[in-house]
Amino acid sequence: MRVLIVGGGKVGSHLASLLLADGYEVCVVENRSSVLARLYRELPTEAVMDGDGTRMSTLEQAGIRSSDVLVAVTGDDEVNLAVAMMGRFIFNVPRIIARVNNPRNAWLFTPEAGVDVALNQSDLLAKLIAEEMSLGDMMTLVRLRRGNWRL
Amino acid sequence: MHIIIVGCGRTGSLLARTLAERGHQVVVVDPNPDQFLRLGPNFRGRTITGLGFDRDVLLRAGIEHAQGVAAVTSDETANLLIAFIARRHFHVPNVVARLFEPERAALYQAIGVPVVTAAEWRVHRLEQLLCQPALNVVDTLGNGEVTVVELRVPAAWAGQPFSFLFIPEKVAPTVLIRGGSARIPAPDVTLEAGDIIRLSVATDALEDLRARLAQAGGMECAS
Repeated sequence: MRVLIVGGGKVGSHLASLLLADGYEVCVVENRSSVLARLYRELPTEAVMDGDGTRMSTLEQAGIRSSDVLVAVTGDDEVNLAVAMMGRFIFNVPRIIARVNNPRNAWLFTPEAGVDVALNQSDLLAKLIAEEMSLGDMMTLVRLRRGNWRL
Repeated sequence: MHIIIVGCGRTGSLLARTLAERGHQVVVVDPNPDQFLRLGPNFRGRTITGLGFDRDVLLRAGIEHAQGVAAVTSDETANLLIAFIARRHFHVPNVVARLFEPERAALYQAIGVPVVTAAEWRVHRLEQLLCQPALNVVDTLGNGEVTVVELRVPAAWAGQPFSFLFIPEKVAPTVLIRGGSARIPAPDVTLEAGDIIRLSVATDALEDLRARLAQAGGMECAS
């Protein structure tokens, strides 16, 4: 299985390491030179690509056409959405996962915009914290449906 | 028409002023309120400070009943997103976006937004602002492949037949307007100076037509 990750920050690089350890084929697209230097230290060279992930030509070079999953995890919601739209409307990637940075933008991360799964980290974290404060003697065993349901 | 313009740079502010002067109800959105100074003291439209893809900002700008949205910020990714929101979430009938990377045209087409390249856009706007144009763009069809234009016949063309402007697959003159009344003339009808002709033009042939008209002295500014 081939996974294309746009955004090589903490989330992107950590995800890449996990997936590589599990035997996935991974490519991380990043264009900030300081971040690239770290990526080249942490990941195998063939798993890193220097380029602007909002450009179709970059995505094509990074092998989007043969990727099974596209993950957009930059720190910029506009970029994550633009990447998801390109992934769906131009390259027809089977599964697209995008990170929501600002909860105010969550309403835009819909299947119509090409996003199959939206991960709203601030919202998830805030809810977990609120839960830990109020429900001392209850424990979440598992989260279902993107964290909206709990057992 | 109620029109929302997102981005108050050179392009956005010129567009806003032009549309407001023509009596349209214009709302301009920009995150930097200093940019609104470009609109000048006589601007009659509204301004809203905020991000163009913020739901609350768009609702305040009246996007639910807007007839047109122009996404003309200097950030192409933002333009794409604004165009997408206007078209797909709020079903605004007329949405245009400023495009910098021609390779993205296919993406705009996929979300149902007609594409105007920055160069075409500027030429059209500048022409409208500089001159009472002898050649006026009336409509753009499909994804901009065909443009419908009107031109005023210059004196140098008087006596030519209506069909002399016809170029197969490029320029098709359709309607003759003389003294305010319009008709579809026979090909051999003789043109008079001051006639208005409406033509459908393949957009890539528009510059040639413009050049022909300029050569005949038809592009001089009025008054």
